[in-house]
Amino acid sequence: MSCRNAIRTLTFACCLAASTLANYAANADGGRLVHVERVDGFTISIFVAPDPPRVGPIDVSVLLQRGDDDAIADDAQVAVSMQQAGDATAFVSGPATREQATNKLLRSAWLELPAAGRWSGTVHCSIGERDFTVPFTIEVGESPPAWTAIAPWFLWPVAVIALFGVHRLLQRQRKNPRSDRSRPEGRLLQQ
Amino acid sequence: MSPTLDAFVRSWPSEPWLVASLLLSAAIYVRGWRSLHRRDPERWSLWRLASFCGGLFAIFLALASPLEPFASLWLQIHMVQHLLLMMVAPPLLWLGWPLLPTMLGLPKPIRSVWVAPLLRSRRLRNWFTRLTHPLVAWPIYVGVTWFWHAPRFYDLALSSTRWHFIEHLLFAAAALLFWYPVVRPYPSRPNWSPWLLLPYLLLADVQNTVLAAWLTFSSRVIYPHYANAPRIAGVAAIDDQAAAGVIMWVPGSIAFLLPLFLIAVRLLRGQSRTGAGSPRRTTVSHPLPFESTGLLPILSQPSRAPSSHRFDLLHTPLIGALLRWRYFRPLLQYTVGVLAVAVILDGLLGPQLSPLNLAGVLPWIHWRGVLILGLLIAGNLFCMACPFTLPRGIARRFWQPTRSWPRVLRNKWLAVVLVALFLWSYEAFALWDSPWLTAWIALAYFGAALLVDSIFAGASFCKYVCPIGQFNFMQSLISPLEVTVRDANVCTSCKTKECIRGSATLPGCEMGLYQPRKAGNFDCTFCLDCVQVCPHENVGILATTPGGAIWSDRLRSGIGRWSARPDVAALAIVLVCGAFANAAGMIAPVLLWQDQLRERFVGMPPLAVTTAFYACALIALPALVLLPLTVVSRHWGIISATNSQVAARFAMTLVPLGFGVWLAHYSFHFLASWDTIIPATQRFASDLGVDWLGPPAWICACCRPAADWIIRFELLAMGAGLLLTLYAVLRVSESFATSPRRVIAAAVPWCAAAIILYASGVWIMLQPMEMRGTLPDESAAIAQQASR
Repeated sequence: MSCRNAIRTLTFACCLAASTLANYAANADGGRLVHVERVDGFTISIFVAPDPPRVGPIDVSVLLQRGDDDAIADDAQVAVSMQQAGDATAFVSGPATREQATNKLLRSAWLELPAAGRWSGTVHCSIGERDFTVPFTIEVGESPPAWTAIAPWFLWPVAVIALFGVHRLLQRQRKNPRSDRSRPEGRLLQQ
Repeated sequence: MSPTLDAFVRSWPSEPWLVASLLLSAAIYVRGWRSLHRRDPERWSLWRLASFCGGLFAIFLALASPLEPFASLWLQIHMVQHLLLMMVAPPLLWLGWPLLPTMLGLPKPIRSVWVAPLLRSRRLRNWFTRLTHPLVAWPIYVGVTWFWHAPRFYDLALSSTRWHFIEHLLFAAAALLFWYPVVRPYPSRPNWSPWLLLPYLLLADVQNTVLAAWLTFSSRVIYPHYANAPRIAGVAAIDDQAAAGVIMWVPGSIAFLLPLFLIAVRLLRGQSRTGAGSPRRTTVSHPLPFESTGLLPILSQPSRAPSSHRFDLLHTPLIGALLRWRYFRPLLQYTVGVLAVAVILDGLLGPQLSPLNLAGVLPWIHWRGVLILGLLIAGNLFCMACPFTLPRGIARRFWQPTRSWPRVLRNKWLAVVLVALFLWSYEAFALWDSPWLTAWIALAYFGAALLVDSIFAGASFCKYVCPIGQFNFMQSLISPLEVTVRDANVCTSCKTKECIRGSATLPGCEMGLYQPRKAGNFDCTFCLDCVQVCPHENVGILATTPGGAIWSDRLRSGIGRWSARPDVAALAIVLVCGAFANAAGMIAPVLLWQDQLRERFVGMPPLAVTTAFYACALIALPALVLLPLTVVSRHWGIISATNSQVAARFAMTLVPLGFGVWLAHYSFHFLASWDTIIPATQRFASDLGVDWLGPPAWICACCRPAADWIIRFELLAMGAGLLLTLYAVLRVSESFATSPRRVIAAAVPWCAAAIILYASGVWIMLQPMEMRGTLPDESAAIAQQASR
């Protein structure tokens, strides 16, 4: 194999690896349904992703439906706050909006949870002049070591090396006359 | 429109990589299909193209349309998604007969070097033939379908993005295997009876009916996820499940029974083949008869384009004309010269706080970033625009030096020392944090270039002294462009050799590089004097293999052979180790370790700690490691060359890895803090009385966390560097050792060293880093308020 080909192939392999790795990162909001409650004529469903939630960014999505016909409540302002049990300083909050959600039925809030343990969440809804809150709790696990999240980005050369090894093996087999020339299509390929 | 439907049509997930992958696949297919369509429009009809693109579109609909976000709320939507992946996309893709168009559509090197050996591999072909045999494909398809419809695994896929991805991947793979024998895309020629397809499809429909009936008629909600999911648009979970069952049942049955009917009719009419490739039925066991399909010529095409087809930057419309313009380089030099003067003035007279000063941000954040990115995408652009040689050029109009550079110094040893000193002083005197010192370094550069080149003829400063130049020469071995001759035959017939001797009005190569014997970018300043002076217009900036000059040991003009240049190898090692030391110098664990060292040896000045660190990293460690590596490599590979030759050749192979680390490090600063130039320029302009740029936006100089994609880019850069280094090691090893086993044996120690270096580089990049040249958050806010 000429060196130019090796570089082009490497570039191609990099593109393929990058596209495969990036597809892993694709993540729709929604996640696991952790709480459903009917309050004041509304049904509030709360989803949390990832499942199980871990230290770091989590997505809290809220589905707000009118109780009578399950229609989506469009005119609501929703915010989510979370506080760690037993630690008043560990508090995060943010608005839940349709713009942040992939599924436009939901309202999504991205929150950065700094520590593992039990977290109490509250969804604050304002619809017209009515305000109500819905509490929920989640158990947040330790985040995996930072390197695991990024591991595919530095382990990808292993795949390329393996592919190169296979390629070399096949090339060597092809160069070996004993394995190919005895067979009809082997003779053809040698032409 | 109902609110639910309105939300549905607006819920498009962002899947740029999936879309890019599908578009790339389509582009490759279309490229090959066009070529085949021109040769045989009847066989490669528009309908094939439409089928393949339809298959890709079905994948897009399944994974990148509103179906994806709604699949977790509605089972029926999820079922549609699965139908698209299992019953629509695979048969459509196979109906496009993708093998030949994809082969032809791929770039030649990929096709001939990578895909052809795979397709020729008898073992792989046998494997694929067995997997696509109806007796194997059917159980795989049914097994995968039933496995993932078990409530436990279905819920697992719904709760985890990764498992969902694996589920879809298995569905698609099993379905591709299942539909292959049904479609039998050209040029496949199976050796089993086509009558087998009748029970194959019938039984597939039966199992599909059983599964669908289970979903449709179940009196309870089978999947807990959907039992708990909120009711959307008033649809109860049990009704949703029944609807999903019907979707699986009716369209699923059509998908199985329609081809069953068509195949049965064809068989009854006496046609044994559904793929329409060759009418005769074979009894031979060769799965892919290349000779009868036209695949052999495609696979056997040469992979390398003739040299006359190499890309030439000088032939590009706008840039080429600019580069050929005689005054382009002086214009670049004067532009960069103005910036250098601004850096010197601001460094000497401006505020001595790095983020506020042009001398604190322009050289250490922007210039280094642009330099390394320039080397990556083009070549030695900085030396082309170097302002330090401007005064010497002016001086030489009045004074022509005649002395030659001392013979004893006609090597890179002086440069090795100066590069090591430069790297050490950067950390020891915190140059990035001292605009004043930065300005003096720039002044010293102007002075040294003027002094050296006023005494000695040629470009002695660039070739033997300048540390920046040495860095650029070494790293530009990885660049994709090189200044070289277009046609060697023209040079053979040339008698005047202006490219090295010069003409009456223009100089030849001052670096002593004779174009026909030049290889790679080492020692080339991209001054383009050779381009200007060549009377045959035979010198261009041509595309080259990045790193290709590293593993070639040919005799080079002005340099000789790598194996005879231990000084060049030493320069390579200092720059590789310097890349790691320079990046490590700003991460928290190394700074902590230095603090601990100072605490342990009370009274030890910081300068001594830094000096010890650099002495270890640049001198002691390489010296300790290189010798055993060389000895082991020689011994294992039974290499007859001397230790010095082996060490010199293999040391050069580490350059790509070093380049990867420099690229990761410098581009990190540049990409994370590029906008620091804005407030520093506004402040500088304001000091000069120019107010139209507005008050300094200090918030831009503020330290921010680096974006996720920057760390990914860094890791990709280092990974690519590692792979190029490993490949270079293999090529160098091949040039020394005589048998494949010895090649591997000789390469193993160096590969191990490269992998260890790579691992340490990854560790460094994953550590918290000092954001040098930026203001802390609070300081930026205070400065912003003060400026208002």
